[in-house]
Amino acid sequence: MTLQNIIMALKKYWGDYGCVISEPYDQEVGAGTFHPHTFFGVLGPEPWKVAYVQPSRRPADGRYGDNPNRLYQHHQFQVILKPSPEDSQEIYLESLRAIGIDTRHHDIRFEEDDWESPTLGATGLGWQVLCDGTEITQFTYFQQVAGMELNPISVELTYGLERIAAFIQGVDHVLDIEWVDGVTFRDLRKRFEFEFTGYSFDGADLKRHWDLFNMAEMECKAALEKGFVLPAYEWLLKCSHWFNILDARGAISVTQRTGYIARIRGMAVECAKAYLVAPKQSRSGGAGFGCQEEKISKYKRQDNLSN
Amino acid sequence: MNFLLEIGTEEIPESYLAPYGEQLKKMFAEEFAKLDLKAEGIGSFFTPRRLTLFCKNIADKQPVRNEKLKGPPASVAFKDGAPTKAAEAFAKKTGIAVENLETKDFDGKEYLYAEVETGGASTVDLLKDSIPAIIRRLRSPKSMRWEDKPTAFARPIRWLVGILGKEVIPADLDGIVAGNYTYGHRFLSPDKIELKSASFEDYRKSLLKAHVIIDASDRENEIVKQLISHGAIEEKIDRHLVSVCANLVEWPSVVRGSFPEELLELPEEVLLTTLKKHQKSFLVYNKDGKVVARFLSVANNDLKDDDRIRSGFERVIVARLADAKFFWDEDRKKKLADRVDNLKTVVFHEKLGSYFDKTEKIQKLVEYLAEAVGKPELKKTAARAAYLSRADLTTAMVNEFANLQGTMGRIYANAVDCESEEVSKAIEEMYQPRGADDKLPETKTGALLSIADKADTIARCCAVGLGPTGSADPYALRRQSLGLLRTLAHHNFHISLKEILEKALVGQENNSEIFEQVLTLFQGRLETVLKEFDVRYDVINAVLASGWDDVALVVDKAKQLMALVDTQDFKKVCTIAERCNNITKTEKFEDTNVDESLFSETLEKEMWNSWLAASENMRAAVKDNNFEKAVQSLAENFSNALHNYFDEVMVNVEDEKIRSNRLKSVRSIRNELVEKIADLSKIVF
Repeated sequence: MTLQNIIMALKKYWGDYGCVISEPYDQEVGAGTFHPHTFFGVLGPEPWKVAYVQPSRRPADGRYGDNPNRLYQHHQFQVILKPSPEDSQEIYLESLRAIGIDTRHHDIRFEEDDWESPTLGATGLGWQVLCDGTEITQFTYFQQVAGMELNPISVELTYGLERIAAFIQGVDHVLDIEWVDGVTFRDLRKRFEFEFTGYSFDGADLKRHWDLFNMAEMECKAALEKGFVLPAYEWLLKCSHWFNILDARGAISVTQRTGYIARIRGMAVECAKAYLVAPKQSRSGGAGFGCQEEKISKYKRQDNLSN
Repeated sequence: MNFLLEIGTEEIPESYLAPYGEQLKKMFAEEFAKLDLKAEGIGSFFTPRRLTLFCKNIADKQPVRNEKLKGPPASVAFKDGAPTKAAEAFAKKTGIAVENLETKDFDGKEYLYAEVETGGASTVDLLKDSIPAIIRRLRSPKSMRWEDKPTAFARPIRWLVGILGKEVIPADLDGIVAGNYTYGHRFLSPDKIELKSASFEDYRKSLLKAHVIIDASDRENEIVKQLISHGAIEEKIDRHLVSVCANLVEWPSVVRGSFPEELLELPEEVLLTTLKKHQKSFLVYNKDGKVVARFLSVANNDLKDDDRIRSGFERVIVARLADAKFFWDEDRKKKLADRVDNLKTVVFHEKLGSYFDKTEKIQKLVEYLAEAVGKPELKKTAARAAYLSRADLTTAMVNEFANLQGTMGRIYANAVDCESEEVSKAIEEMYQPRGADDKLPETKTGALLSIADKADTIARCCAVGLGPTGSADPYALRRQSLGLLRTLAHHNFHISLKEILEKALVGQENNSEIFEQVLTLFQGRLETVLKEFDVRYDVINAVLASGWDDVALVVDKAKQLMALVDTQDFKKVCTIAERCNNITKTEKFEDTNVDESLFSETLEKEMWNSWLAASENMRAAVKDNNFEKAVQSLAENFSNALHNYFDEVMVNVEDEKIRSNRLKSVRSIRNELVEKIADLSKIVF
């Protein structure tokens, strides 16, 4: 299967299962977990089922496109099922068959791996799923997000699309993956990998990135004060991304790191709290991305041109 | 009757399984006793997906017991003919209505009395409640919740089997009701399996047919058997890895794969780390003990398509080994000696500078140590090893495989810098012992370096406020001080611990509070070290009271005294110490200068002369660290004289000068014993 077909097969499978197939978040993020459909989606009591592709950037992992396994930006397929189903493992395994992995004739293992994101205050217990020794999915039962105990529990399935494609296609170097007939991963991504690796390790201006980080933090807090939760969260995502670049540049010492992570986490906690306080505007069955209407009403345009 | 409980789960972390098994056995044994159910033959079993408790023989119901219950006195139970709260409580307890309560005469007084039948409940009914209660009490290092269920467990529980004899025990855990159906191997035999009874043999056989080996040791044996059939040499098989792999599968199948021969260039330690740590796979050796370009992995499958599985494993392993080979080639382009300057940018700690700073400090410290322990000939090699000791932190291999620090230092020092065996080995030994079970540095140079490094870390961390608190020890200083002490003792390095720490604190802000903190840290660990040598607690206290600055001496002394602890001579000397201590412990002494001219009684003079002679022999023996001889000389030459003295001469006379002199003489004996041997008044018989 080409990578293009794998993605479509996964979307079909999870769409048929009942997930909303949404789109990637249009901000730089390090993982599918940062998408508001996960971060906010898992909070609160309403059921929620969503799946989407999420391009994920990890500046420290850039290797100019030379390393067979590591990329500056890889693609995750993210699934959230809330509440976690009784047969979550079985439906996951069925999804592997849907993309052509014969689970009977491979060594498929659930190997202990408890995933956490310190910047989002998220922790979970679960496994990395191995297929003949290659990790293909992170399977996590979220317990806490933004430091809050979740109820009900959500299960997060994060497929590593490049890993899976390389495995299915029997390819040793990630850039040799066939994206679609006649087009390789290299064709689409090599330049991106090359330039962004160089930029992260050498090119990014340190002082400017520090300034950007600090300003983003200030704007996040300001937006929250005015009652804008989702916009505030976007500033947090920017902080996180610029932190990752500074980290890749080696500009953050081991002892400083805890401080910066705590700052980002602090913003995440505030956003989550503010989100839960807001009245829900969605019908039951969807994630309630409400707003603090009373607070932001003064920002509404007063003329009749706005719809 | 047989009792069978199976808790069906999603894959539980390997390290949690055996502890869960132990907990199940213990908790059910206690529960059966509490419920007055006679039970024997309790065993537990586990695979990653199921925890099983089996009881060979349990009563099918509680025995009926006639309890004779005596209640409060009638005078308390009834006031003016009406029942009081006491009567109501007794009525509730016995289940008898208040108006039907009877009394009985005990020694002339009337008490409420009832004969009640207890027990007789059926085991099925009782266990129906016990099972969920016990499951909720099971503990694991981490646990999780799922859906909206309140129970937390290591991983989600998906089914329960509960059978007594042939009867189902319908225990209910958050809506999961126990039945008599289990499931086979997730991929090879996923269908439901009906269990007709709680018979363990039937259970085991049904699971075996369904590709599940329920007994961990059976899985281990199966793995070893298959490893050998694939060419593994039995004596070289890593048994620990076998037991880990056995708890990652329900149906072990060994896959044999290979990798390119040129990757054998890699040091064995690198091959091991890659294969064992990351891929849980086995290295293969030929009959001559050399590594061959093969590996063995344990899959959870029946390998009907083992080519596919093998090539999958090979791809991953070859990729990792290729990475390692890349690092190996790149790293060797630069000598360790040329890397030391780069340590200036590798931070040890924000408050303590770089690893370059640390290198300089331990270099000085190890030179001092070599002199101080009487091995000046080791100064040069120790200093060289110290200089190179952390250069491997800048290599790509250590960057990727952090656990290989020290080991790569040794290998690169040898292969690239062409340093001597002694220097290379010391670099690796600096890190030892890494933990409670790790070995100690073997060579003297390695031991000196290990001590220097640990002393530097401990002293300087404490100096800047990073020392251990009651609840946290983020820099593992307790573990490091334990390692340091064990190394000193093992190599018999006689040296002042205080002096080492003072030297380590040169250049740091040092005040008495910090110094005290460091010493307290060591004192606690020294007790641990002595306990490891099976020294009794009272001997530990006695020896430490004598001072513990020379750790090697303290350990030697403690061991020697422990060996004497049941001898007559030892008892005699302890009695000497005890008597001298008891009579003087409440006095205040400005000095213990004895004025021999004030001795008036003959026994007094005899005792004193006997003491002078015996103590000289004792001191000579102590100088040679021969505590057996010291104890013996006191027992033989002084014990009788002292006891005669105490029995016949009164110490606390009216005359203040004589009294004081007598007390001082006894005290000085006591002090000499404490100083030279130990405070034997602390020995408990």
